[in-house]
Amino acid sequence: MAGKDDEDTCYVCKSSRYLNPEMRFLINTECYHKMCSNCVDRIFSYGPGPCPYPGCDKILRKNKFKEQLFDDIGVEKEVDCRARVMKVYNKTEQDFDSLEEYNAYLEEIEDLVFSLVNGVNVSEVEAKLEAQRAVKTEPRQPKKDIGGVPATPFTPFNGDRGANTLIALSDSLHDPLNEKLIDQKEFSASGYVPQVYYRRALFEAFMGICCFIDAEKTRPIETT
Amino acid sequence: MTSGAAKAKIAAGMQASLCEYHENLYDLDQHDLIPNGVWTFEELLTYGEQSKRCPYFTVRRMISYCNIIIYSFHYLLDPKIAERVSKELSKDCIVIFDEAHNIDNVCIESLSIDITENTLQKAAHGVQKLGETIDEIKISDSQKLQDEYEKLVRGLREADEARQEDAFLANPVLPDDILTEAIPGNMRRAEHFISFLKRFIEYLKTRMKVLHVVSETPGSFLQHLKELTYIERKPLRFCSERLSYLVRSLELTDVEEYTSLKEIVIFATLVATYEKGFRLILEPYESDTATVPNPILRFACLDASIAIKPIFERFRSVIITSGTISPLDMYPKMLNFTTLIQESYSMSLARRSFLPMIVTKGADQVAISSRFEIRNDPSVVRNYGNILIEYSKITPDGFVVFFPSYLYMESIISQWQTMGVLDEVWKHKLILVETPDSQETSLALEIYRKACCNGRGAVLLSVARGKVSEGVDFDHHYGRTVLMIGVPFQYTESRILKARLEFLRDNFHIRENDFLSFDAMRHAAQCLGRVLRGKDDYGVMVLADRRFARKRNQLPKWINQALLDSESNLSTDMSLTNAKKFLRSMAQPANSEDQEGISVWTLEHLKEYQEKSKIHPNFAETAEEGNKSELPKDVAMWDVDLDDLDSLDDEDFAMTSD
Ligand code: SF4
Ligand SMILES: [Zn+2]
Ligand SMILES: [Zn+2]
Repeated sequence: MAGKDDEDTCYVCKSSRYLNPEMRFLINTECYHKMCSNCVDRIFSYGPGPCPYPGCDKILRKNKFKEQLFDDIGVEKEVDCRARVMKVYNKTEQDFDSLEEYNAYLEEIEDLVFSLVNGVNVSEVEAKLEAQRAVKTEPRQPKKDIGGVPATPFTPFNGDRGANTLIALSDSLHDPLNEKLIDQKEFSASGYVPQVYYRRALFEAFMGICCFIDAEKTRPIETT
Repeated sequence: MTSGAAKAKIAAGMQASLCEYHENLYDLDQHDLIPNGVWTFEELLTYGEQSKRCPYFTVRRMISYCNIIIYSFHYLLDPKIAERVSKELSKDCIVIFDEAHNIDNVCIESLSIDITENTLQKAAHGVQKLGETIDEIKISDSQKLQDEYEKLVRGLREADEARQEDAFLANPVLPDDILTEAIPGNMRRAEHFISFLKRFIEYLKTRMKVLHVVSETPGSFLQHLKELTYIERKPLRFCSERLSYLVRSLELTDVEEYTSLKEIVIFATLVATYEKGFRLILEPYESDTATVPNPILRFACLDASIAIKPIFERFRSVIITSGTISPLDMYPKMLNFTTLIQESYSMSLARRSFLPMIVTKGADQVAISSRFEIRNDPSVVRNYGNILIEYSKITPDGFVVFFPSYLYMESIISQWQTMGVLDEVWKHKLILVETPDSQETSLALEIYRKACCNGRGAVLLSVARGKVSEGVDFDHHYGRTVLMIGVPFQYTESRILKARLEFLRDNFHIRENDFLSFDAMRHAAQCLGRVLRGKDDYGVMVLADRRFARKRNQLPKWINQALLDSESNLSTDMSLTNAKKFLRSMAQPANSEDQEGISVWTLEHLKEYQEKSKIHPNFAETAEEGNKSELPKDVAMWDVDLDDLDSLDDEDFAMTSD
């Protein structure tokens, strides 16, 4: 049980909030041991080091320390684990054919989080997460796919049949005049980005390329 | 203790104790637990004790066999109670809301939830306990949890079947679609659900740490909740059902420990279900001047129609009636229904038995008003003091005074003290004051009654919207004069009121000022009505504020009709002359036979009337129509007290059965 004392005194340097009302406590996502920000600065400024709590041999880094959000350390840890799982397990109900499958999926997530929090079968869980990550990189097909035509925004000609653009922007394109504009607030605030500007200029200039009016006219209009 | 779990154990040949009072109930048939007649709670209790049968279960079982049930609004409108008490009432019941001038506030209160740090702590404790119980059961009886889990996976729930047969009253806390859909996968297992609750409670705790006022919609609350804790809207909606399911499968008997948790869970369901009509307001400090935070998270319901909707949907005939329900058209708007019959009755009395007057200026012709800018003006305070003194001189026995708020009452009383007003009143009457403490107030009331009875006479200084104005009758000599000091407007700085006004404007097109004025006048009428509680009663009603002159049309018809034009703009001394004359004439012995044929009917009168018009022909027709159409049944509104229509005394009329 954490008494009042524990909450206001740093376990490592024993300084307490009575003497230093500004004191902030930090925790890390490895072992969730709490210490004050001064201690974190002192111990980990020159690189990673072991946790000062006796019996805890975790190696900690300064950038992994954060402020505690929830009072209950258990919940804090769980939310962190959940964040990791949810990053890769991010399907929504629409991605499933039936509610049952979706519910099973939700339960799987809970089980994963549960094992991560309690440290059981961690390696198994990590493997699963890794696998899911790999699956995720494949482009996901939208669930309801009518016919073979890829969904495109509406155009008068039944979608852009020439899906590959004929224009390529080189990274090294250098235009001192336009690039300077991005530093000015009134341009950047309204969303100005040089690359977009170039692409649009080029697109508008060569819009008609590869478009043969005769051929378009003779092609039957598909209606979906 | 008899419970489902204990009985199962006995059936299985195990040891468990049953309550004798409950077991004796089985000697009799379900519908025969008490003899026919009219029963009050006390009578039921004594009867139960004598016959050694549990009165509580007697009532719960018999309720569906009763012809007439009389209970408080909350039993029907508050979903937590209605779920237990009123769920099984048949569709054909006629629901009558009497004294319904305040029904919108009851609706709103029944769905509003206040969460304090204490609630959260207790809820967290409850979750902790629940978790421990689950861990124990896992070891001792893991099959139980497995059974529950499997049932949930298959989406089997009894409530679902019952709902499909349309057997029960709908519950705003349990939206219909929840009962037909399977519980989300991430809370099917008991331990997952526990961690879900823990996360939610911890999140609420972090919200409580904010030190400035926050007012947000449920939508933005959910958004933030999801960002921090990955709790989605959908499982949150199922929370309340899931918890009651868990409590049932764990066979928990000590429900006391989980009351706070239950509150949190209901909050979770409501916040995730209703996007409109609710608002979350976090007030970190109790008052503007407080320095130590004592946060309250108020989940305020703004839409009165949510709580009453199931009633309109379920019952074919709903009647809303009150002596002070005026103006009538505000209620259909606020509660979102259409009336079939809307009727406003004037009072039928043999003599002019009450004298309403509007006093707008003092004897020195200075206008009097409780308007904020001038309410503490010495001349206004003195004029109010004079009214008090003069009326305490001429009023026999009881004299009730209403102020718009405790704050104003306190400030004006202290000024009167220095002006010597109270000393003057003291010569004629005892002075008693209502306080927010209900025990003190009931003591004051007791003394007040005693003083009225023994001839000393007393003044009761009380507050509109207070306990006295809502629930205490000042019949006969307990109240001969009622004085309204100022128009009882609500405190407009309240954040909840502001949110509600905004909601009413945007959704029901009710303007802020209209609502405030309506609300003030219904409370004023409520206060005035306190002194006239029967046909042979009489009293003086004094409305002391300049602003009443313009608002007189918002008074109920029966008061407004009796208010003569010549008496709607008086000065203190003129009103006194009128009142003296009135009281003198009233003090003459009245012949009760004069009333016959006017306000009291004999059987002959009634038969005669029935001959003339076959009791309200439209009413019978509309009831027929109601059978065919599915939705709005006949919702009628009457602007008259039911007490005046029948001569039943509702005190000894709690339950009848046949
Ligand atoms: S409520 Fe009734 S059944 Fe329950 S313990 Fe009391 S008397 Fe017995
Ligand atoms: Zn330290
Ligand atoms: Zn550590």
